Amino acid sequence: MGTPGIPATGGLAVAGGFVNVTATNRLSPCRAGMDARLSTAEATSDGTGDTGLIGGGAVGGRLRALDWAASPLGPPGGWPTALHTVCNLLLASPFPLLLWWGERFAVIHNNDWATLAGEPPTGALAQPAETHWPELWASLGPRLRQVMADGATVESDRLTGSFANIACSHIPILNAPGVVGGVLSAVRETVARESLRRERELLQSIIDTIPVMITLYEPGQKVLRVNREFERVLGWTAGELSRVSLMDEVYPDPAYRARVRDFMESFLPEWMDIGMRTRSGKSIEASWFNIKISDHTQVGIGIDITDRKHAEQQRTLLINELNDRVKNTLATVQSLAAQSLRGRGGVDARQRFEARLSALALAHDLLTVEGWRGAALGDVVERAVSPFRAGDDRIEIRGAAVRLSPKQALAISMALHELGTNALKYGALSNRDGRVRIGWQATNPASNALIELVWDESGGPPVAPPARKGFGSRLLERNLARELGGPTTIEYRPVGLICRISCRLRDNG
Amino acid sequence: MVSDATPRRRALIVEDEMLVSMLLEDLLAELAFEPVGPFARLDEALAAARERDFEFAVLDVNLNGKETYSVADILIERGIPFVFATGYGKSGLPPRYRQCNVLSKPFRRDDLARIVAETGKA
Repeated sequence: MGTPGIPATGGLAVAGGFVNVTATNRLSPCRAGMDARLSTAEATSDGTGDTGLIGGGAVGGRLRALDWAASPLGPPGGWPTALHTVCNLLLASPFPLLLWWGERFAVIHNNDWATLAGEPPTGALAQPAETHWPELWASLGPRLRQVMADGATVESDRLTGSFANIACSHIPILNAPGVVGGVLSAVRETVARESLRRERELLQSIIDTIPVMITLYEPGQKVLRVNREFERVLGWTAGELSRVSLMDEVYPDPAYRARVRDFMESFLPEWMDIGMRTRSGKSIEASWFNIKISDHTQVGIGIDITDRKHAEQQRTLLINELNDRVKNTLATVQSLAAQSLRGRGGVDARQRFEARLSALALAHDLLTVEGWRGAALGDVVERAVSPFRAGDDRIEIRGAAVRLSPKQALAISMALHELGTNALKYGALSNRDGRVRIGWQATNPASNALIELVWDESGGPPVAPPARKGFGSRLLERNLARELGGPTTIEYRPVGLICRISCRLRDNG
Repeated sequence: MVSDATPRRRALIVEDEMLVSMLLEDLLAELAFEPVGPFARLDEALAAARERDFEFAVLDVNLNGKETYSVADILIERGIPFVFATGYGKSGLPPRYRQCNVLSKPFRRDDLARIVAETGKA
């Protein structure tokens, strides 16, 4: 088998760049198939007249209506088979093609050529390019002559002027064995295609490599595309999206699914932590953000935060456990003190000790809730005086929002405990009518660096300075100054005790 | 004993720290309770909760890493008032037990006395 001088390489007869179109004539099954398609096309087309040219849209119509006597090609009825076949191939092709035929290079283009490179000059169809389409001929003429002479495919990849964005492969068309009848130019877009390809590759590699889940979905949460990170985290692949309802699989609980739906349609500019189920049934947590690109396209980006959440839970657990242990230790200390003071008439001492221990534990609780990052002064005060409230409003608290460091929170808690105990025993809380006003404000309104907290008693029994300084006043006057970075003064006014505590706020977050 | 004029009250103590259980014994004694226990192991505490007679109980939530909620369940079923002793506070309890009484550590005598008085009324 095979034409003499042309080596047969598989089913397609190719030699030295020649596409031997006439060779298809000998492949009878293929020919039969072609004939069947032709007749179908003829039945559905507007009719080919006597040209035998099929389809081809606007260009096809123009060709069928052409005055062929004025063309060097002559009427199609008299064309060689090769010209006829290639012309129909050109008309049917969805790619831009040009066909040059004969010694004068009469040119026929197809619709896709016109779409890509623009319409040819009027009257150029089926006429010699050199005279009727000079600009194109100037670009391609020498190459086309070379193909006609050598019978080998030639490339035109550096065109200029109007055709700077295209490249061509010029393929010889054999009219008879060894005889080149014309040239078929396969045209492709170069600049745009290349930059488009580069841009698409870049985008795709970003989408595929970033460790962020990306989903593309329509209104109604029909997921159209997912990226590799999504596949890695959730186990569902892009190929399965058409078969499964991802929303149902990932959010099996209908009520929860509805909440996620609402969020996906809200496009709130915020992240939401969402629990999801993977393909293997594992529960994960991810933080999602949704963006509306257009009415039809919405994008969700998500980050797998399962490990982070787990670490957070572990941390909370650890803090709670530590807190429990500290409290147990305080209870142990309480027990030791109780055993040590037993039988020594130390009921009062024991009570004072236990109250102080409780005050310390209360402050400790508050700091634990906030992870030992500090506490709000209002919370510290409220908690510290809570044991002295008897369900009435005799203790009044007023002050702006201020943050304390853990050390300051503990110091102020203990100070307020001492003041409260004193008030309960001798001061404003020892009778029925006395009141305590606790307030604080910045010493210098321009800066919040230094605040003064005032404990102001009134309505209690007449006050006299104590004969001896106890632990309470020592704690207040000496320790506080050191812990809080400002002086503390106690004034034993006859109408009621007043204590001023200065506190320097710095780096308290 | 049976002829004793004042009715004796007993309190189950479940606590794994020896010194803390001693303190509880003292605190409860002040409130006229005789101790049942203390029990430092969960299996012993469960057996005592099922079989022993007492009118009140103090349960440390955490016994060497084992939680005592199963003991509480028995007490709830038997209708015996009890209080959880914990460093966590109420928020550390599972939702099912949030209504239960909690005694925070270190203990405040007044809190325990108040809880005993309230449960006695109920």
